[in-house]
Amino acid sequence: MPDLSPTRGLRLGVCGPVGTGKSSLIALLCRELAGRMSLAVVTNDIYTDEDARFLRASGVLAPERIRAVETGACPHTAIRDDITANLLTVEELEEEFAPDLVLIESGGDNLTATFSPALVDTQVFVLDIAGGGDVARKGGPGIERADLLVINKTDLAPHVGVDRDRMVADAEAARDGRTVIPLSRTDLDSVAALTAWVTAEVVRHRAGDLVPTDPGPMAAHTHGHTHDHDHDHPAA
Amino acid sequence: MDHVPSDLLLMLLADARLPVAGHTQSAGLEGAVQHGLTGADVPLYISARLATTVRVEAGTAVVALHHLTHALPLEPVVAAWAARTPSHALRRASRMQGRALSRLTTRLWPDEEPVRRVSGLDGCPRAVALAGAAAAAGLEAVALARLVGYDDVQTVASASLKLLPLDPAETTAWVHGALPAVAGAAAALAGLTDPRDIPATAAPQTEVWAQAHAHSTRRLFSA
Amino acid sequence: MTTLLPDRATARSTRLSVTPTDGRVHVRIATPGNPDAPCLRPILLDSGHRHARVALVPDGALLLAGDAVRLDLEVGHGVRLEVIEPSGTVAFDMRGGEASWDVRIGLAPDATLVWAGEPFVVSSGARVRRSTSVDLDVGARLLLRETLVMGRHGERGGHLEQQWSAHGPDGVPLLVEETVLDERSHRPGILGGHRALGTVVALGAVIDPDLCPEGRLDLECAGTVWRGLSHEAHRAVPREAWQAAVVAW
Repeated sequence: MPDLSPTRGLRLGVCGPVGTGKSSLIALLCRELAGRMSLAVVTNDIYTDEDARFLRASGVLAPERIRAVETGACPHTAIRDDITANLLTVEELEEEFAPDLVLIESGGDNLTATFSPALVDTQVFVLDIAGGGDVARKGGPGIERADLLVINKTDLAPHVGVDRDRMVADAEAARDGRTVIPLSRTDLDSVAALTAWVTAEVVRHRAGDLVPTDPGPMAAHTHGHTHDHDHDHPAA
Repeated sequence: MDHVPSDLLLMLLADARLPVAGHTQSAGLEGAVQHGLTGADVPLYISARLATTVRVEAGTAVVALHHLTHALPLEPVVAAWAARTPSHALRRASRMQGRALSRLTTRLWPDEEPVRRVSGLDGCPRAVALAGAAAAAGLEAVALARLVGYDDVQTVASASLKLLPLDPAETTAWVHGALPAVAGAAAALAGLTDPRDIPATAAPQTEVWAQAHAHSTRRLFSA
Repeated sequence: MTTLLPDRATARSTRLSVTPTDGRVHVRIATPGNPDAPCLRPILLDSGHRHARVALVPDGALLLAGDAVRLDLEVGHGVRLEVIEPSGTVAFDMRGGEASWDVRIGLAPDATLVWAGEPFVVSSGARVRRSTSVDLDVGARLLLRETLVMGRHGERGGHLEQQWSAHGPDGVPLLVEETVLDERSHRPGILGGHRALGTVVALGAVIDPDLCPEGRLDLECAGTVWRGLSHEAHRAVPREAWQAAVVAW
């Protein structure tokens, strides 16, 4: 049998609405993981450079391992349909540094933007507490079917009048058992849970056990009356 | 593979939906707008490019096509292009697009010798990569030159919708209005075969804009 | 329209060569051709063991219809030549005629040429073809400044076509440029309404990457060009870049 385990590192996408803390999450992962594995980052800013500069300034990674991709005001296109600019940049970084993990940050768009599985092996969707407790319940492809949902800035819950546990429970219900991690930089257990999840994905990828899946372009067909998927659909 | 009429292949290559990161390009328009270009100036900007930068690009493509179809080396074509493209930012943007295009053509025409030669070329500029696609697709030199000109005009027009929003029928009218100049330039360049004859028509303000744009920290487009 | 093409057989050209000897460099100057025709006359200002300094002075009224200025310049192995122009040049209204201005430069191994050009003004009605062609041998370096100005004060300017090319050892092209300045070059992206185009060309050496980023274009082969656009002739050449490059050269 040929060895099908991939020779390149894991490509991890980080997407979610503007301001939910994607760049901070990537900076956090770099800080936590840089001692254990080789990393690289690609940012997709709506106004380029901003996020790349934030990360370079945070000093968590050598500046040449952080590259910005211009999206021509089409952040959705750049991670979903014409992923060429991102792929070329990722390949460039892989060629130069052979990283174990490449983190790709989407340009903050809206609730519907998710990565193409042709670009990333696994993806994290980031929401934040301050965005409101009902966001998780409203759903969408990223919230429901990204490999991981992070509910960020949980320490802010009391200040913005959001019931943290309720929001997490809503998210878990919407995700049909897929992982949810409530995250706060000040809660070291939550940080450990996040890095453990990412590390496990790196291991799965290395073993050839990770099959990229598409969260889908839109909310899935849902049934208000039942969760039984075996019922008959009426003929169209 | 069954024979495919070359006009269909030309349509494929000219299509904005071609996955070559075209949405990241503004053909210098963003740099121009950062320096005060307004919507009313864009048709003149398009015509200025057709008289300068586009002639260099189309000339390079046509000569590269000749070299590909006559078993001549590509390195002198790339050297001639580079000597006519003094802006580092523009050379870099072109090479990035060349890589994007090679990535695609390698998928479409894996067995075509011209595509293999182009994709094996280190730092292949976009014009030369397009010539590889044209050779594989069986396009004539004049069609290739038209493609280069048409794509440049469309890139400016579509980027202007992002940067200087206006009725898209208006920007398409600019493109339509520029077609005679595209055809004229293509006809004038289609016969070129020698790298030394590639036009070197300079666009000094475009070059300075491009360099400043590449150093700006707030931009939507790669170039 | 009648075109008075210059009679090249009776025009006067200029040859200047500076070659090394055991002592002071050998400077040869010749202006063959029709002695009544105008030309550029090199005046030796200073010379030494491996260097010379020359001023290019117009001999006769320049630049009028029918004039064909031609300058061949050779700098020998390891020699440094500085060329200055005491004044700029005005191409006058040629009333349907035209003039030409051709410079050919040959730089031997390790030769250096520093040419501090002065503004070249293309008056309304002037029609000029200019060319500069440079061949650099191994280790040769060129530093040249040039200002092209469309029109005297208050004029739109005439028509100028300039071919500029530099080639390295084995004929590798380093910089090839055609500049056409006329009514249509006022379009955005070319001159964009500016009157003066200033250029500093530095070839044969890598310039400190942080030196003068404004208007800076780094070439594929070791070399840098600085560009400036201005409404005023004396502001077009990026002064800081020129001064810094002169020090570096």
